[in-house]
Amino acid sequence: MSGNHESASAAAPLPPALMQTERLAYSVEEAAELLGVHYFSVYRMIQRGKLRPCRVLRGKLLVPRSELLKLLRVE
Amino acid sequence: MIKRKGQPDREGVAPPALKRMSDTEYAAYFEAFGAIKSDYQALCLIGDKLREVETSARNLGPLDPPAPNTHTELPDSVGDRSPWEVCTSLMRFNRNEVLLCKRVCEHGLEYAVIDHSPVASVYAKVHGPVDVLRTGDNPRQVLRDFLRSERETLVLMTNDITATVRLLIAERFPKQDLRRVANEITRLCKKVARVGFSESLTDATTQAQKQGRGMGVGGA
Repeated sequence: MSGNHESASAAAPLPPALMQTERLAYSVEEAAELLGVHYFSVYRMIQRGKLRPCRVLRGKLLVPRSELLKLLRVE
Repeated sequence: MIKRKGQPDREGVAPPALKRMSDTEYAAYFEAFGAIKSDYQALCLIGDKLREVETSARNLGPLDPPAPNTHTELPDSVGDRSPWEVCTSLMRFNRNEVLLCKRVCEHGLEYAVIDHSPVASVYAKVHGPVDVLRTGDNPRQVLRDFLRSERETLVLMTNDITATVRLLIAERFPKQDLRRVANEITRLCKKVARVGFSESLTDATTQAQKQGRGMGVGGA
């Protein structure tokens, strides 16, 4: 880990997978992959209300594409 | 190695503690557990790490400054505030690291638990690599609040994993009653994710501090 970090910008180039508009939602693992973080961090974001998931059958969590775009300040 | 009908268990996952398991239940169990095996292992790992953090927090002792070679600073996401100084690493995953940090503010020292994401990640490019999870002027309270919130996150993750199991069983074995299998896997997941964080952490840490042992967080 380095002490020098880039400063956060308003928006970042979207991962190609997130450009696929036919995809409406992603599993937590897929969302983590798109964001480039560990998936437990995505569960934390959900727990803290930074990401609002939807629940499909039997309670499985999915992260809507619109929520990811909102998080990445694209929408 | 537990065996059934002379066959070794597959995937290194022990069969469930179900009595008189039918062939269908047996097949469903291994298929479902195979699908969530990596999640189950992650659950075990995170649970273990949180228990370690709890133990460390309980033994939070001499508040010595960190060694000079481990001194690291993280910029605050807001930008106009002083940077965070890393006291200790609480958990490290392949991408993220959870750190206990401190900094000087106008009222004295401020402590924080920080989720540090890779600088090059898409998330960090928008929000910065530093995600502050908890802050406060008392490191023990900050750790206690963090652990409580992690327990809730672990429950969320466990429920998501067991939902995957129920979905998979319903898809692969339709019109069959395999509730015993789903319930058994749910029980196993909840068992490894059970983290009994002590609510009396303050008392324990005070005792540890008096005895001069445990994790140092520096300069309080």
